Amino acid sequence: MAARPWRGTLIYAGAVAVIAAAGFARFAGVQPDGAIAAAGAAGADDSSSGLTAGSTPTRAAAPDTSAPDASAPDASAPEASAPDASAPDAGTDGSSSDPTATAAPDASTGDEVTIVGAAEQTRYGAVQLSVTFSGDSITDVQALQSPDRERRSMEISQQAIPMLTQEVLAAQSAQIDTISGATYTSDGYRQSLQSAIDQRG
Amino acid sequence: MTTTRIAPVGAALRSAPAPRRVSGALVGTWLGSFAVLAFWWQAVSPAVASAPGGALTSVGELAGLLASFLVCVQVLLVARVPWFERSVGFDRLVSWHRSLGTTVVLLVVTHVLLMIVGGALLDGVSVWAEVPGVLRTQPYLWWAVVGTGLFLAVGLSSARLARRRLCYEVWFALHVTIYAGIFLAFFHQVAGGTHFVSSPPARAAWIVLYSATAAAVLVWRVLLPVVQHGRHGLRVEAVVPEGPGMVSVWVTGTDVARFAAQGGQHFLVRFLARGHLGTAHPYSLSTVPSAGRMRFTIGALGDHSAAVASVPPGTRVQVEGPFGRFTADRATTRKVLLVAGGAGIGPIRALAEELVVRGYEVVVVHRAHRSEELALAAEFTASPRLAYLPVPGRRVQLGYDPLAPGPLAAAVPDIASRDVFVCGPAPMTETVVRSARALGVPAAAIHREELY
Repeated sequence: MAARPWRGTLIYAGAVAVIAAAGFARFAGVQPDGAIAAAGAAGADDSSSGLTAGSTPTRAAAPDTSAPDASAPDASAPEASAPDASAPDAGTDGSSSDPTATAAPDASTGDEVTIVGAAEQTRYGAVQLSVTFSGDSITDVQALQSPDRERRSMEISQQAIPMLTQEVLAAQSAQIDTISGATYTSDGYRQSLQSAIDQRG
Repeated sequence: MTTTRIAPVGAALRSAPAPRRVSGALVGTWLGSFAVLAFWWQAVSPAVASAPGGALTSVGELAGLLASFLVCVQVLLVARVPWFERSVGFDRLVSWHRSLGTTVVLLVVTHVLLMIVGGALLDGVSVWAEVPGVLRTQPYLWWAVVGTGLFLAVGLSSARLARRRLCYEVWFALHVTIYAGIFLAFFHQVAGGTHFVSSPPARAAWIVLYSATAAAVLVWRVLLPVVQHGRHGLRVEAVVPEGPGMVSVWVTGTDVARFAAQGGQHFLVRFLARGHLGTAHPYSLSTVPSAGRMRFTIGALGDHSAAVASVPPGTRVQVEGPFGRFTADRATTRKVLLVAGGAGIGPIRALAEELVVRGYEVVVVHRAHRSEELALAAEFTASPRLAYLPVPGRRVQLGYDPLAPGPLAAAVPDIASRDVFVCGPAPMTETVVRSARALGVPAAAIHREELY
């Protein structure tokens, strides 16, 4: 058989043309990021409102997904919302005064403390947790924000976050395994959790 | 489509050429590629394109999916799957394997670039910061990096320029590492590929595709050759010089008929002797196998063909095959012209034997530079069914090309009503094909085999 010197390159060129065409066809008419973020800002708030009862002030202060700097809008949050006086733990007071932390100590019973971790930006959106401590143990983790930049991220988050929470409740630390397929979410989750644990001291 | 061709006298006897069969392998490749595209289409959400980086990584994923599908096709093409060999033919399979190799390597590079640039845009970091970032976070990505390195090494070593400078052993040793490369790249697909992680059925299908490919390679490239080797126990019986730079190797073994080899076919032959172990060469049969014997006639085209002359009798031989569709089955008429040049006489000799036994009427034209080089000439005993026309002499000495349309028509006046089989060096093969076409032989009745 005579060699066909450029056939492979031609097939590649055809494949690239098909890939590019598929990309254009699939993504045609999608609004750029800014428009989505602006339109979706209200929606993002709605989606997180169901996650945590009693953290309304924090949620109001939570950065929207388009804001790269997670800590900036939170400066006023603890003062505005947290009933500091009822917090029995002096340590949390100390950490809430830390300007970089997004802590909202918010104790409902004498022994229970809920701390909001830093909002960690991932490529698919922010992860922010509120962690409830009872004594020295972690009793509950709620996601205030999870990656929701696209439909698939939301699906992945919905699967991964409960699994990560299970891991945390078992491990009682941020030393948890990455969920396969949710690498970025897992990373953000770990960091937000660690920041909450660090604030608790 | 119907075409009207001015049929030369005698061509009316020709049975209608078999309709060009659409190869199942080609259809499978197209369907598979389309399935990959469709899978990507339904799995991806248009919303990823809300960030330009999202669109780039998504398109990059498609490039990666296509590359990893085509690499399976590529491996299957040369896995010696009997069904492919019969329906497509070894030489075309190898040719497609080479072409797709270029495609796959380029698609892999495209995938890597799109994932890095798209990821950097998504993460809002520089391209240089993105690389260590994804390597840290993505599962099995380091493995894939090593695998990609192997893909590039194998691709570059197979490029025309490099291939001419590399000896076969080095090239082959490098080429075999692609199996490791494919294995290493596989894990980042199923563990990190967003499409597979979020869809268990897709993931299962992908694992089945790769397992089946691996199984085909193991069965037909490893297990079966080993079993055959044990069963036939092939050994070199004798090495006989046939003329300047040409030797015949007689190989004996038990149950040689089980190969069901036809005249015109070739085997990949490996002599288990020092200096030959690393290489399997395609050698054509020069007789139809019989009485526990096969004969390969080899021209001194390369270092190894030359060294074959010194292989001692008793040397064990390992073969893969038979391969090739240069056989009597392809003839569309009862009259056949065989044209041999140089070492091409080997397969032509075996093909003539097969055709005469089957009752065809055969004319053999044998080209060589000098009459001493007309190897195996004595084996063509003239009979009503076989005419042998030796044509020695260089073109410059003769003053003309005996295979040009005029001289060829003078030697074989009824060429238009014959099937033409030609085997020899590429330029000679080209000349014969052109002359035969000019003399009215339809393309479907011209069969060619180039010497490796």
